[in-house]
Amino acid sequence: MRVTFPHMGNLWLGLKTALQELGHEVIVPPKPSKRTLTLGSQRSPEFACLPLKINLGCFLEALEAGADTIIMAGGVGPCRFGYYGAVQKRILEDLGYNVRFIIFDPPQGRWREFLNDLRRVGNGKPLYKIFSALLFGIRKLEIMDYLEKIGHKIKAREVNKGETTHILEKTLHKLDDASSYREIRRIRKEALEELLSVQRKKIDPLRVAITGEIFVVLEPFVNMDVENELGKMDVEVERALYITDWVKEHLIPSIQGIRKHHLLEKMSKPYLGHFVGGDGQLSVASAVIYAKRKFHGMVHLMPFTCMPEIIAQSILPRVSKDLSFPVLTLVFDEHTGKAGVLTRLEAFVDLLQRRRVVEVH
Amino acid sequence: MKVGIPRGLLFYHYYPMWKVFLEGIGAEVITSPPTSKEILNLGTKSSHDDVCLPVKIFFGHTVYLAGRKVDFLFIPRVVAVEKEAYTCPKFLGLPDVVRNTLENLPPLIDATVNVKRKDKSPLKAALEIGKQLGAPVSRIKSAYREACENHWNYRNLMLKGFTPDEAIDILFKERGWEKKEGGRDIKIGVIGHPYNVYDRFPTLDLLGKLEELGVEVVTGEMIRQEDIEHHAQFLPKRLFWSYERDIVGAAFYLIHKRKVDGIINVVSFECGPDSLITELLQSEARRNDNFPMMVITLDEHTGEAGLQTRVEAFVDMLRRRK
Ligand code: SF4
Ligand code: SF4
Repeated sequence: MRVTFPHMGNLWLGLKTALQELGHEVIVPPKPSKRTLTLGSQRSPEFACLPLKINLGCFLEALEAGADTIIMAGGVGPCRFGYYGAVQKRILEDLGYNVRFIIFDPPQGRWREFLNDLRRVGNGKPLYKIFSALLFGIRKLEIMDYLEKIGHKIKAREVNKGETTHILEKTLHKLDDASSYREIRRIRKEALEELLSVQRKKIDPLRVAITGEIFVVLEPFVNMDVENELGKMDVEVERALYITDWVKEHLIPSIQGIRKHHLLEKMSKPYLGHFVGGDGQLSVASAVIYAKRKFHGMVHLMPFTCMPEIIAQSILPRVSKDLSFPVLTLVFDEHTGKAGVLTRLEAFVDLLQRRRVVEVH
Repeated sequence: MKVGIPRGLLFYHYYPMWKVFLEGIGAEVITSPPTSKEILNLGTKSSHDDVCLPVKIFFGHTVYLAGRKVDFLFIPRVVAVEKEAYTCPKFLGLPDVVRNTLENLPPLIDATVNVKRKDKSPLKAALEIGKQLGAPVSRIKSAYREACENHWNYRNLMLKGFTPDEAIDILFKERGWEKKEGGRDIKIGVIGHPYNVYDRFPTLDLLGKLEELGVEVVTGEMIRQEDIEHHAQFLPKRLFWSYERDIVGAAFYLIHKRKVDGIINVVSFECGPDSLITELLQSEARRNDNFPMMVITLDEHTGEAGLQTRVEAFVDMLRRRK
């Protein structure tokens, strides 16, 4: 069995680690690129949302590289993501591929199916081995998330733009090679030291939150690297979501997760009184939370035709007006060009700077 | 007390039930007129650009009614109508989007219906609405019972082959309808969301066109629920949207049983669920000896001439195959 899975930010690091621990041969698809997008869009329904197209592109590239089994997350709605796997499977079948799909639906009461799938992926290993493999993968992702959070602060202040990104990328690959907790602890410590020794300017940067649909938020190829671009403009960003949030929410129901859920409901309540699937409620809640935390603005990222985010997008102008909190929504599809995104980001940062000057006076 | 019901989205599924219920608790029900250029313009002006056409049309009807001095607008939040599925995310957020986008609205009746939760059952929603309108509980309950009964009458009329407009006329204007028969040599299944299939404006009267071309039309609402359920099971995974599951089940039934000569799938541009289920329908049609299927994508710029030509060509093709 040669397994593969779709890309979403650093997700591959955790999945690859866990699957290798279980003795699988893992084929990580090439990083999403123009080619991935073209391949995926050609074979996808025209009006499907962008993540489905990129997922499919990843699968096609992984199949080229010899994969024969695809692992995919599922879902029970109401957003499209939960049905992606079923549709993608059908598309690949119709294209004549002979490929095995293992689609993980969130447990949500169906523990038996969930455990069955888990055993298949578990490669005959006992349950505790499966969990410890998963936890090891998640631990690596947690370290990356932690370093990225610190990285956001440094990127805005670094003298040599790109230095932080370089350190983070190096660390990512070191973590990929690491096979023990001891090793990853050491890598974390080293990376931290390196990050903190990056030469920094003494400035008080603008603070901008990034929120929206998780795939676009986490995948730099898709969002035109907005985090780093903002960093280059000396803006400090904070993301409303990280990969480990997603993994934990989908795999390990936790008290922390439930608390977060309540917080989201409470914060979005005056504007959006119900969950709408995907990350729609989070996007609305983010505006309220980051306005309270005195951020200077928020960038809201979404794929074209994304249902939960269209709801958020329709509601955000009201939130923005009420709280006097600037929000920029960027919509992505296969035709989005980097130049356009950059122009809009620059204009937004300009606006924030001007508002800040006015406030000070 | 005047309650306005916008003629869009779930109107086509539930209007008779809503009307009977609201009248039963003492309200006067007002609806917007059939969709027109003006209504669509009201909608496109007031809603977000990227939203699907049916929601834009719904906004048009809502704005229209808001300008007609109604005391309430009836826009319930229909989250789930069966235990194992949701409706479209846009229905989950509909009252919020309306409230946060449109200005000068009368108060909304936006009770939540979610059969996954005991405290959000349809009866609970009815009680909440009744309370909002100040009706006594006993009256609410009897109005609710009558409304449910009416819903089934409505569904039965559609099963017999009447369109929602015709069925509504039969129910409320006590008018009889003769079904036109004879001279119809081919049968086409017109499959899609009822607010797409039956709204004459955005479809440029597709059903009327087919009738003129001598085609007998079968829609999803004319197919028995057992058949729909049975054939929806051929999906690779249970679909978690109720209305879309009905659409797929209906199309699969028509394809598997060869009940029609061809299928026209009506979808809206920028519809999330449609983007996936159309793919499944096309794949299923291909796998069944290339069963003839045509997809019509509606947006606000659908052109009369182009559509007419495509429909005629499809009908001709089906005739030649016979
Ligand atoms: S959240 Fe949006 S983009 Fe993501 S799968 Fe759902 S509809 Fe598509
Ligand atoms: S099902 Fe499609 S057309 Fe209907 S509201 Fe949802 S996105 Fe719009």
